[in-house]
Amino acid sequence: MHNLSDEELMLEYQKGVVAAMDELLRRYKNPIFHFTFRLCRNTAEAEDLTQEVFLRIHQYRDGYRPCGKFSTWIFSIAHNIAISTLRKRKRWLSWLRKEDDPQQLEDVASPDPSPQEEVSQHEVVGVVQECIKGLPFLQREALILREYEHLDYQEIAKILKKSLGAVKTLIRRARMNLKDKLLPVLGEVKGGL
Amino acid sequence: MLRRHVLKDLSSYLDNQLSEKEKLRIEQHLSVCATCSQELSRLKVLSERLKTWQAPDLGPEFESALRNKIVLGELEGSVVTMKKKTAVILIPSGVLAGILLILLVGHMYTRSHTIGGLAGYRGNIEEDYAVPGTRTWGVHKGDTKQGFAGGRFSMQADGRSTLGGTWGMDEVHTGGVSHGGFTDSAAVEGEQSTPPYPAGSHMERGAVAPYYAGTPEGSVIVIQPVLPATGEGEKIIRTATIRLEVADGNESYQKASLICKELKGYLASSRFYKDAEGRESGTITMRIPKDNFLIAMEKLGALGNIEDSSSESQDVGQEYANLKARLDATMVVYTKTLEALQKRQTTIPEAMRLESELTPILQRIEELKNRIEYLNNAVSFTTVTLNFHEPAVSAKVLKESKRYFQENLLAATIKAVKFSAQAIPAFIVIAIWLVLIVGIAFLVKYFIVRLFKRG
Repeated sequence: MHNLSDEELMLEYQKGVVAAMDELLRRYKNPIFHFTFRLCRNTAEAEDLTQEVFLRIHQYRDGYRPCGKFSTWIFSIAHNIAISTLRKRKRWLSWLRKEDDPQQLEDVASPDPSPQEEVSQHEVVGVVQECIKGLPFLQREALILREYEHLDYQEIAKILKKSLGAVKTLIRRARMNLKDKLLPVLGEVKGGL
Repeated sequence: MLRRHVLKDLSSYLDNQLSEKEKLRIEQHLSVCATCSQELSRLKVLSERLKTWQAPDLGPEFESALRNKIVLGELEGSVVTMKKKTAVILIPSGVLAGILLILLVGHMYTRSHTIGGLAGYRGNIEEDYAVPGTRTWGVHKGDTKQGFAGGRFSMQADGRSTLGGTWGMDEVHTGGVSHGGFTDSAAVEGEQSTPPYPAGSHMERGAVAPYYAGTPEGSVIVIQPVLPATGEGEKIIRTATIRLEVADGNESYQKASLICKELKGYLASSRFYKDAEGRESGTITMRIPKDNFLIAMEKLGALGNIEDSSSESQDVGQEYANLKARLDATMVVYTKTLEALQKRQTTIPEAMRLESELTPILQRIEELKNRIEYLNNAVSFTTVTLNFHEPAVSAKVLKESKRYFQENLLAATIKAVKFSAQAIPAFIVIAIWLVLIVGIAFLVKYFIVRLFKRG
């Protein structure tokens, strides 16, 4: 199983080979978890989202066609789940708090950082997190996929269902925003770049 | 050399997402442009800083939890889907169908009780007209029957018909030849409701049992009932009952009444009714002169298919003769007494005594004469009871049934609409409360789960 590609593993799993799913799980559970964690910055919620991603893969395994990279497919699922979760959260929060600011709604998703996050709050990571959190959702997502998951622009475009140029723009603008916010802060904290 | 800044492309260059040509162009520009080079350095630093944010890995329990969830989902998958469909479609449909079914069944149950009551009533009518303790002959519930024709009662014998023959009936004529007794008793399944008459007494009066003419199997059996001897001194009271299946009840009723009138008879009683299925039925009791008895049976039988026909006779000749003898004797006593009274010269008190003796004799004479007149009347007129009904299955019944079905359907629909008008608001209120309760429960559960996860 270790020698098989992701697509071959998925085809094996379609045939009912459970070991293929184990291998896929081994390969992708952490990337997906990291992606969702960086999006929502909540461990429990990220774990739930990751679990949901693999449940969807199991549920729709028969519909899988190896016409693209498996990583693109699985990150697309993660993206869709994240979007739908975000929408649900928006509805709930708007209903509970009667607030309509989408940006604000996105960011109040995890108002209380975990203890681990509290420890790093005063470190560079904390600053990075805060700055990334301030990015619009799509810029944040595109940047995370590029910087942390090292996906190329074509894959990111497929995952986000955007054009290649749009992805380029999203990543560039995300970097510009971060550069403007992060570098001055880090310059103060760490003595500049 | 490119003199314009390439700041917009630096991000893609950093990610190595440009073509070779574009990369070459950028690199040429960077070698001469300090601004762009500095910007690229900043982006590289930014990228390095971003990489400091390392997300934690998933714990080992994640895979086992996921597998449990997959197995659970497999087990409950169909149930969950079914629950959703059931909640949305099947339950309301089932409830509505159940309500309609209950309404229809309840209505049909009520109607069937009403029809059953009518059927029972018809049975009672037949029983009321039956004369117990008499001798009968006839055809009962045969498969194919024909009525009287030319003074003969005939039926199609298919081996299943039941012929009822009794003793003490009148002479039987077949083709103008008189026979006495049963000629082929093995082919006749008879019912004898009363002990037979003394054969001798009947044979003297010419009264015999019905005759069964032996014919080849499958051919028409002709039974020829005959009247008792109608000569002077024949004193027999006859009654007959005939049950017919007719095409049109009302028309048959009219025709039967007309037949009675034509034969110089009169209607003793009549009843005409229509049951819930639209079938017309009736009972006519008519008194027909004894000479027209056969003609009456023939004509009445021709009105429809004979289902049952029976004739009964009661010989009152002996009683008549006794009454006549007693009357003659009493008259003799009366005449002699009167003559003696007229010849002798008696005093007034004696005359009064004799007259008081004559009074009971006169009363006795009157009683005997009345009884004789009653018997004469009973003998002169036969009693024919006609029961008729329309068939259980016919175009008319079908039409009535359709109308009945439509009326019932309409009535059930009206009831259902009325019921819905009353019940739906209640259902809606209940449903709103249920949704609220379930929603609150889910909310509570959701927040509790979140609290636990954070904890």
